[in-house]
Amino acid sequence: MKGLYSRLRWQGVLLISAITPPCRRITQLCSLRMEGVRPLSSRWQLPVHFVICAGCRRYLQQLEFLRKIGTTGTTAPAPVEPMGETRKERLRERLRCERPG
Amino acid sequence: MASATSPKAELDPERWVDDHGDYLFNYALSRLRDPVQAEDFVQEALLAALKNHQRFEGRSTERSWLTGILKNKILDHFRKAGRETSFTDMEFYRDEEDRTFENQEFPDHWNNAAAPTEWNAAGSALDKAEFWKVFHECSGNLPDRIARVFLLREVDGMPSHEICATLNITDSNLWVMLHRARLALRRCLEVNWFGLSAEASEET
Repeated sequence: MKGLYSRLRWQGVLLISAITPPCRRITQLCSLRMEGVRPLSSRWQLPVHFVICAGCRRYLQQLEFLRKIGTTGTTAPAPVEPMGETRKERLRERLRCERPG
Repeated sequence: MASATSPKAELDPERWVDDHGDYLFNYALSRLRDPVQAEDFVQEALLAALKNHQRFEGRSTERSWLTGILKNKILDHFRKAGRETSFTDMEFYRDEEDRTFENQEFPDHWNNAAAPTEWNAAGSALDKAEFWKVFHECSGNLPDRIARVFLLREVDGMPSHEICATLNITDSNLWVMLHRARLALRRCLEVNWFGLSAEASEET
């Protein structure tokens, strides 16, 4: 019974991998989906492919996480490098010259 | 009317440098990736702000007003830079993509070593300064134009069609660049952050 189950399961995996595009294409479709572009075919291809492929399922989740990183980054940009006193002084100098009045 | 109620703070552009200098410089640096150019743009933005300070109505914070001016200056610069055919950028990570999907048994499916793993505690990573350092290193490894596109799209949240118009590129060009940026960033974060933190938590 168990053998039959795993055989059927394997057949299912093979069937789905035969009717959905390979992971390389699926990742492109995931990226397009993040742009709001959803070709008709991809609407069923993505969820069906995800049934058999944890890698692609996680890939889409991680793209959503990348977007979250981006939106969080606007409010909390990590300082890559401080401006430095020399640059700041140069800038103050310039602003003093241009100041009206 | 508005000026009567809003406290018209005395104009003190030098204080802008103290209060927002680091922020603005980092903003420019992350987009232009050149400290000299970043300094020039911050200067240009502050000079423009000084000239037009009457237009600041206190509806936004001083920082977002100054950032807005800086942002427009940088976008203008991108616009003028126009379309450079950049073969190397478009070829970026083609090899890497090939390796990622090199699979003997199922062609074009994930290579076992490159398939995405589960990212544990992804949400809490955002609170950690070390995570941001890794993220900035990873995005720093992207080629200029790929990184520019990614920042405009994911950090500034600019709609695709606007990016295409600003950078004068086609939709499909943009999609390829975003796709490559995402593949590479995802991989880099997994190797340098999530993979390591998983090992660390197994040890404890």
